[in-house]
This record gives sequence, structure tokens and C-alpha cells, in this order.
Amino acid sequence: MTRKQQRTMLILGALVFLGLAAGLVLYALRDTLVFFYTPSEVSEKLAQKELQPGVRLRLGGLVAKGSVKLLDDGVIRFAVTDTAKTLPVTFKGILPDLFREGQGVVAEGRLQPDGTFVADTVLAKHDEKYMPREVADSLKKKGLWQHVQKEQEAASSAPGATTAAAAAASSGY
Amino acid sequence: MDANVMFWLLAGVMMAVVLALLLLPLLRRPGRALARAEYDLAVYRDQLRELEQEVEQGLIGKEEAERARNAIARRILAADKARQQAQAQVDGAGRGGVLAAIGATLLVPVAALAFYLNTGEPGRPDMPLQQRLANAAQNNDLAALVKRAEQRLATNPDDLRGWLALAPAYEQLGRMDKAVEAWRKAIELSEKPDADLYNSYAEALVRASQGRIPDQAVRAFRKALDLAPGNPMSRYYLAMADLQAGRREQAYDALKKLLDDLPQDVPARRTIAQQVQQLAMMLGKAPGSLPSGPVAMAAQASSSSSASSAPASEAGAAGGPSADAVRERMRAMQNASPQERMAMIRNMVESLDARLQEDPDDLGGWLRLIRARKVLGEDDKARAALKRANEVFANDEEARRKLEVLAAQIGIAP
Amino acid sequence: MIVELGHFALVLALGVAIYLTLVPLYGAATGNVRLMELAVPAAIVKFFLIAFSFAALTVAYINSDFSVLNVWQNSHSAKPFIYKITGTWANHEGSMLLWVLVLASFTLAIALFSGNLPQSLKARVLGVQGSISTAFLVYLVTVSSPFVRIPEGRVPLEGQGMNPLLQDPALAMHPPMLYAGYVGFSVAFAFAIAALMEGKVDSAWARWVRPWTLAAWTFLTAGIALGSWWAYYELGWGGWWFWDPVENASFMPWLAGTALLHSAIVVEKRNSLKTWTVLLAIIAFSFSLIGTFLVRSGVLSSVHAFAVDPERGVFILGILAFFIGGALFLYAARAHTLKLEGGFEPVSREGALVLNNVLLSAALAAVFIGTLFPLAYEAVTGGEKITVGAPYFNLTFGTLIIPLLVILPFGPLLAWKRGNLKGTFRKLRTAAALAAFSALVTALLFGGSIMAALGVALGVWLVAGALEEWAHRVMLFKAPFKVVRNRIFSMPGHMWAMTLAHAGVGFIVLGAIISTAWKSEEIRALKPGDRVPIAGYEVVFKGEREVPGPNYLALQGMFEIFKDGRKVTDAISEKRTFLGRRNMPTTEVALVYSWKGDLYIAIGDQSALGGRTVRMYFEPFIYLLWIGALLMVFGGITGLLDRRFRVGVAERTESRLAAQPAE
Repeated sequence: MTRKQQRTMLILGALVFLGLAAGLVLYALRDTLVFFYTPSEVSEKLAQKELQPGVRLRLGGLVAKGSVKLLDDGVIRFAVTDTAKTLPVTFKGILPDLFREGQGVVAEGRLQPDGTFVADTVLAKHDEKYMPREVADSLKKKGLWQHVQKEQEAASSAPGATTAAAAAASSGY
Repeated sequence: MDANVMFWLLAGVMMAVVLALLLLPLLRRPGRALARAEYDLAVYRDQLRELEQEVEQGLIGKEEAERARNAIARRILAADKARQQAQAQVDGAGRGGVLAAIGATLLVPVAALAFYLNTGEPGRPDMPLQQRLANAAQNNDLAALVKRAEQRLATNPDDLRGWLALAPAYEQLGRMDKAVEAWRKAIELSEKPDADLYNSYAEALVRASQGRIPDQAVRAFRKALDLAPGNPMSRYYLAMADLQAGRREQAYDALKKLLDDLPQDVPARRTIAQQVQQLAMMLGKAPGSLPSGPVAMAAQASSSSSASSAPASEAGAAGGPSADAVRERMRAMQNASPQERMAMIRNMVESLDARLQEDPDDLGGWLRLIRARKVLGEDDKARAALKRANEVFANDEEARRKLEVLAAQIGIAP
Repeated sequence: MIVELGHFALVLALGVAIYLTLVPLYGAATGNVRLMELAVPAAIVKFFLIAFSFAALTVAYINSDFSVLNVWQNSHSAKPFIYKITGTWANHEGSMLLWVLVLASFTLAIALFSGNLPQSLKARVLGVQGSISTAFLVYLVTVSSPFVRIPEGRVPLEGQGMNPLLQDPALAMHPPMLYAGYVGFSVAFAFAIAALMEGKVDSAWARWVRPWTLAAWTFLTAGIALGSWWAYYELGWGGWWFWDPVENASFMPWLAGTALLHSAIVVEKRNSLKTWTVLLAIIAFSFSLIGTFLVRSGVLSSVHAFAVDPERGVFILGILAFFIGGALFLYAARAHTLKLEGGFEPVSREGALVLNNVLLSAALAAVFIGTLFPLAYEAVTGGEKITVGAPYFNLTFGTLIIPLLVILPFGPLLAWKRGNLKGTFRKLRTAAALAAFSALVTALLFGGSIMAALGVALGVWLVAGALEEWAHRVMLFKAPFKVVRNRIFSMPGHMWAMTLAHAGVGFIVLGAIISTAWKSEEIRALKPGDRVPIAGYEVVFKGEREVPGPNYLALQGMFEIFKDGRKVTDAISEKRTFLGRRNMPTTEVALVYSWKGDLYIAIGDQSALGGRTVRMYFEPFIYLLWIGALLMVFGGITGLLDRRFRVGVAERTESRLAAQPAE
């Protein structure tokens, strides 16, 4: 092979590879993306047929007061509300540390055809594992949380700590 | 030495050193520049040496070594050629530019100085916490004194005298929760707590709950009364507690008895007498004769409500003088002659006026000022104050409503 | 006064930085040696001014000088001494000052240790460094000054406290290491820009760039490892890597830097891949800047917060745009001036290194897209939120990096220019056999999925491959003992570096795969007296108590650990609530070590259904991760000590010929 042919081969190979890699990224993005909705958005999207039951999503809002019930087989039932709409959620497992009625929560799971949301992961605001910034933002938009805390700095220099830092900042709420 | 002088001295040294380090090299003859190729040659020679080492150690195959050697040799030849070409050109460089460099160098401290003067606070001393605490007494830094006492008590929490000193200091700083805690500690640590201690504790509790007398305070006042039967302070507050609980008859009786028991020269009589009179009116009893008049009323209006009266009105809220200061002033006033008293009151009213000029957001202050002006008979000034207050609170409906109500009450039209 | 002097020194440093940018670059452009030579004193002066400024801020922290706004916001007088010092950089302004200090240190190091650099190149490199310094110093003294004072008379007596998460020894050292890595790539960047200006990239250039790149890479590796270790024992989630955007922010320059490290070898040895290497140098530092921007602008915690307070973020974005855009523009305009040399066959050392670069770059792109996609999506859709989580990264990064790891042991064994694949295969027989054997053993004896067994095989392949290559090099078992000994002792540092780092990668793969695939996990709400069996241990919850610390109150959960009915040890996990305004609790994990792995216990809050939530994990062989990271860092250090990175100083050659090529 001449040098020129070599270069052409190399460039061709790189292009093919780049195409494959781009395809992989797109595929992964499509398959692993999880949207975040509040109960109002869920009902809106359902009405507009933009959302089908069975799609994986994150549901965020506040745990409705008086809604938490422990069923017989260890299943926990509660409702997530954004004050406008409320959505019933069932979850089997250990609730996170700071799961409280009236507090922020993010449930990840799938919407059932009957309108309940079956969660496989529940993250509470303040839980050191996860401070759902989406919740904070969307509730802020609705004016439920007054203080927009902009001091996020310090902890964010640590890996894995954006969430923890956000939790730190939100402790002022 | 003055901190300012010291600062400029050190900053000057800093600038001088910077200038010296940047300017001195300009005095030297510039080093002779070597052509880039000379440096490249040094690298290639090193590479060749390493290659030979690797060959010697058998780290590299014969054939591969030969290829590498040829490649390096090619580079060396090329660099050598470049070197010869560059030689003449390099030798000519390196003249001039000195003036420009000196100019640029001098600009550095000048620009820095100009910028710093705009953003920094030249000569402002540091304020390390320990030093601040150590100098607290001479600087009259009450907060720092308190902090120091706290630190001492943190290591030695059984120091009764420490708590006794700390408690009033807290009161002066308006940190009533802390004051309550300190008095409580003092009571715990005293072998035989006396009535005054209980009274202080209870009074702090009252002030901590903004004039409401909580059950804890009632118990403490009772305790004080047990220890010192007839103690007027305890009796007064217990009567107030009755009043707050709606037991007006009991309160009236207790206050009347207290008034009878108090010697004539006790300044507090006046306040108590007023309250007795008010109660009597409410309960429909015969009013007694009580000293009253513009002077006392104006004094009350211009100061915040006294510590002993029921929930602090908005007039006494943020911005007003501390309750202690007020009590102090009241005491001074009651011992003064009528003329002196009048002068003091005017003084207070004027200083309130002055303060509101600077800090006009204090609604309570405005309400007090307007009322005081009216009581002093200065209707024009009262009206002027009302007008200014209305301007200040042009966007605050609530405030304007309050001003309106006051104006109606005391009968001045805006 | 020290505070004010520190402030003044910082402003003065800005002046010197501007000077350092303009004078030497002008000198290099006009060929004026006098002006070029001024770069060295300017670099020295700038370093000392910034160091003084940093020291002044540190003194303010040590003394709890709350008249400094930054100290009041981020410190507390009850903090242990060590955290008063580290508190200096555990906040936005202080950490940016540290950034600038590290940059000044690198500039100083170039100024002092590069007598072997051609004057014009040195002047240009220092000038570019000066320009980066200028940008960040302007940022510091205008919108992000650490020396803002609280007005006299309103100075508070107590600070607001330091972020509790950062009150930890590993995390205290994490930012300086990370910054040393980030900023270290600025040297490679400056060399790339200088080379583009001069239109000359060659073997010598690569030789000068390599040690700086290796230093930056070593620091960054150490910084990332420290951060990961910290996340493991401090956050209490039982993991060590979360694909969190902040982690990605430091991982992206690492990937680019690793690629650069390898492509620079090709430039030095073969005078090939030149334009690509220059581009990589620009990219590596660009990702350092992007990392700084992501972490420092607050854009990660919320696009919303960023939009509310955009001043700082926009400023850093401006710096970012200027340097990345400017560098890429210069690259586009000048890259063609770099002459090509040295072709090679696909199967050769060069070929392997190119493949390394291609795969690393693709992995970097995948991480970059995954990290920024949610931000872009939110910005484009006007607030719609999505999450790109670990599944995305595991899929894309894993798919792209596994081929790289599989071919990794071949690379060092291939000859330059023309390699022999068959011969190389033969040289790796033992490693391949070991890998296959380990896959069989794990699959048959320890259960676990096929993927896990293959993962273990990959790790073994990497470690054994590195060792086998080393064995060939020293002729282990092939030559008499004396020869072998001689060869071991005379093996150059960069060879050790390669063996250590490549084996380190293998250990990391092993640690990651085993601790993930065979992890045991119990999350339970426990009441005192409850017993939980996990991975052969029995954990007994004894109860909890409150214990005061120097500046926090600790809630301790007490445990007894039994194994085979015998008590092994007591263990305590804490939840700490710190003094000051930031009263978010932190977790102290109880770790019981053994050669099989870590038993990991973290207490949570009171459970909603009664009892105390306790997370228990058994992380088998997790320590292989830390060993792997240590090997890589150690390898980096060994490489830096290599004599060959200290190139001889050039002398004026008067003789006609420098060397006799070939015998």
C-alpha cells in the first residue's frame, strides 16, 4: 500500500468507527433517557397522548399529607402532589431516610393503565443520596418554595457531591 | 506605627521589589540566542544515546534499532542544516525594545495601584477573632466580650460568676433566649438562689416571650416571693400575669395593695398608679387621683412601651432602643425636675426625628414621633412628620392605614 | 493589614500577568531576545505575588478573621485547625485563587526548569501561560474577589461554617490534586499554541511536552482517585463512581490527557501524528476549562440558578470561549504548516497508539454528550427535565473502552512502523491462558454472570499482560539470574511507568467488576438487638447514642460484627450535624476490612416505619481499585523521574557535524 492509500484507509476506518460510535450514543440516549414530570404534566401529557402508560419516567412533587399507608404485603401506598394534581403511587421496599409527608420526593417507575404509578425507586428530598433538583426547580416555578438559593458553590468541587451540595443548599428551604 | 503608614510602606516595598526584578534584567547584556536547531540537536543526541543503551541491553530488536537510528540520523542532519542557515539571522537580533519594556514595567504598579484603590480598603487592619476577643474590653465590643465569656464557660461551665455576668450582657444584646438560659444556669449553680435571681430569670423569660408571662415565669416569680415575701417586683409581675389571664379583679386588688405598700419615693409608683386607674375604669370602680399630664404621656409615647406592659407594640419592635436603655431613661427622667424632664423629652424626640431621617423605614418610629409631637403641642411638626411618613410608605398600604388611624386618634389632619 | 496586602498583591499579580503575556510574545514575534528573556523574572514575580496573596487568605482563615466576607461565609471558629487551612480553598473564591496559584506554580516551573528550551519557544509558552493567568486573575479581582471585607462595625463574631462534606482529609487534598491536573494541561496547551505560532512541531517538541503532560496526568489521576475514595467512604451509598456531572468534569480531561500522553510518544519516536497531538493538547486543556466551568458556574446544580445569577458563569464561559475558540482558530489556520513525516503499517506500535487515541476520544465524546445533554435539552425545550444516568454511561463508555482494554497488552509488544501480530500473540500466551483460566474458575466456582466472568478475565489479561511484557523485557527465566537482575535494575523509568500504569488499569478493572458483580446489599430498618446476616458476617445493631465532636454533634449507631459465631469487632457509623448555618448531616461509614473485601455499614435517618434505616454492603475486593489507582500514580511518578526527560542543555555547536549517523 502506498502512503496515500494508507491515509485514505485510515480516514475511512475512522469515519466508519465514528459513525458506529455516534449510533451507539444515540441508541443509548434513546434507551436510557428518563423524563421528569410533575403530576400535572403527567395528566397533561396523557391527555395529549404524548405519554403512554408503561414508559419509564420520574415523577416529582410533594408527598400528599395523610396519604402514606402500609399495605399487608409490605407495599407502601402514597400520593405525589404538585398541589394542582395528585397521582397515587405504590412502592415496595424501604423508604428513604427523609421520606416525610409534605416533603419533596422523586419516584422512578412506570405509569400503569389504571392511572397508578408503580415506583421501583423512591428518592426523598434531603436524602443524602439524592436531592432532586428537578423538584426544587419545578416547585419554584409554581412559587411553592420561596427562597431561590444560589449558593451552590463549595461542595460542588467534590465528585458525586452536586447532589449533596444541592441538598446542603436546600436545607434552607 | 499607624496601620495605614505600615500598609503603604509594605505595599511600597512590594512594588519596589517587583520593579527591581523586572527592570534589572534589562540592564544586563542580553544572552546570545541560540538557533532553534541547536536545541533540537541536543534532544536528538540524547535520543541517539538512549537508543544505543537500549540496543546494548537488548531491549529492542536489531532491525527496529536500525530503523530508529536512521530516523534520528535524518533529523540530526536536517537540524544541522537548519542551524547553519539560522546562524546569521539570530546573531543580529536582540537590540532595542528596552524603552518599551521599561515603559511596560512601570505601568504594572501604576495600573495595579489605580485598580486596588478602587476596590480595596488600604490600611484596614485585620480582625482575627482571638485578638478581637482579647481587645473586647477596651474597644467596648460587647458582642466580643460575650463571645469570650462563652468560650470560657464552654471549658468551665460551672463558673457561677461567669453566668451571672453573661446573663445581663445577653439582655443588653437583646438575645433573650440566651439570657434565659444563662439565668437558669446561674440558678442551678447557686447553692442558695435568692429572690433577685429568680426575678431576673423570670423577667428574662417574660422579655423572651415579648411581654407575655409564661407559666415558667409565673412559677419563678412565686418562688422569689416565697424567698422574699412582699417583694414588689414579683408581686407586680404576678399581678400582670393575672391581668393577662383575664383575672382583672385579682390583678386590680394586687396592684392596689402593691401601690399601698410601696414607699412614696419609688419612681415606679407612677406607672403602677396609672395601671390601677385604668383597671379601675374598666372595672367601673372609683378612679383614684393620679399624676398624669402631657409630660408623662409624651415620655411614654416617645419611648417604646415599657418592659412590663403587655405584648410589645409595633412601636417597640425592631429599630427602637433596647428595653434596658428605655428603662434607664425612664428612671433618669423620673428623678429629674419638670424643666429638666421636658428638656430630656425634647431631646429624645429630636433624636428620634434625626434617626428617622437616616433610617426612614421604621414605621414604629414614625408612629411614636407623630404622637410625641402632638403631645408636646407641636401640631405643625406632627403634621409634617405624618406627611413625610406617608411619603416614605407610599407603597405600603398597611403602613398608610396605620398612620391614618393614628392621625384620626390624636386629631391631626394630614 | 495582611488581608489588604494580600488583596494588593493579587492586583499587582494581574499587572505582572498582563506584562508576562505581552512582553515575551512581542519579543518572540520581533526576535528580540532581551524582551523574551523578561518572561522568566515575570513568571517568578507573578508566582510569589500570588503565593503571598494565597497565604494572606489562609492566614485570615486560620485567624477566623470574619471581617473578610469569604471567611465569614465559609468558616467557623470551632473548626479543627486543619480544616481552617483547607477551608481556604473549600469555597468558590478560594478555590479559584488556588487554581491561579497552581497555574503560577507551573509557569514558575517552566521558567526555572527549561534551560533546554529554545528562547522563542520558551517565551511563547510563558506568554500563553501568562494570558491564561490574566484571564483568571481578572475574574478573581472583579467578580469573584476573596478579599471583599465586611464593613467596619458590622463584623460578625461567628462564621457560617464550612460545608460539612468537605471536612474530610481526602477531600481536603482532592481539589489541589485535581487542579494540579487541570492546570498542568495548560502547559501542554501553551506548548501547542507556541508550536502553532512557530509552525514547528517535531520530535524535540514532543520530548519537551511529554514530562509536563505526564505530571498533569499523574496529579489528575491522584485527584480523581482521592475523590472516588472519598465518595466511597463518605457519602454512604456504597459506590465509588456515580457518573455524576462533577465526576465527569474531571474524568473528561483525564481521558483527553491519557490520549495525549500516548500520541506524544508517537510524535517523539516517529515524528508522526503531529497535528493530531497538537489538537489533543488543545482539547485536554479545553476540557479542564470546561470542567472548571461546569463545577464553578453552578450550571450543574440548576440551569435555573445559573440564569438567575449569571455573572460568574458568563465570565468563565467567556474565558472558555476565548481560549478554546482562539486555540481552535489558530489550529485551523496553522495546522497545515506542520510537516508530515513517517508513515506506518496498521499493525505497528503507531497503529496501536492510534487505536488507543481513537477509542479514548470516542469514549470522551460519549461522556461529554451524556454530561451536557440534559443541560442542552433543558435550555432548548425551555425547562423540560431529563436525566442521563449511569445506564447510558455504562453502555456507551463500556462498549468503547472494552476493545481498548482488550488490545492494550499488545501495544507495548508491537514494533514501531511494522509489527508482527502473530509473534506478539505468542509473547502473550501465558497472559491469555491465565485470563481464560480465571474466567472458567469464576464462572464455575463463584457463580455470577458470563459478563462478570469475562470481566474478571479482562482484568487478569491486563495485569498478566503487563507482567508478561515486563518478563520478556528483562528476559525472566530465559537468561541467567545475573543478566535478569542487571536488566531489572537498568530498566529506564518510563518503561516501569508503562508496566505499572497498565497493570494498574487491570487492577481497577478487577476491583470494579468483582465489587459490582458480587456485592451483597442489605438496607433495613433496624431496632436495637436486630441481627442481619450479610456475606458470611452477622451484623448486630446495639443501639445509638449522641456524642459531641469539636464542631459537630454525632449520632452514633453502634454495631457488633460476628463471623462464624465469634465476635470480630465493634463498628460505629456516625451521622454528624455540624455547627453553623450549613447544618446538613454527613455520614461516617463504618468499614470492616478483610482480605476478601470491605463490610460497609452506614446509618441513615429514622425510618418512616419505625427503627433506624441502616445500609449494609459487602464490597468484595474493592481494595483492588485503590491498588490500581496507586499503581497508576506511582507509575506516573516513576516516569517523571526518568533521566531522559531531563534533556541536555543545548550548546553552541562549533564543530561541523553533531553526530555520526549509524555505524
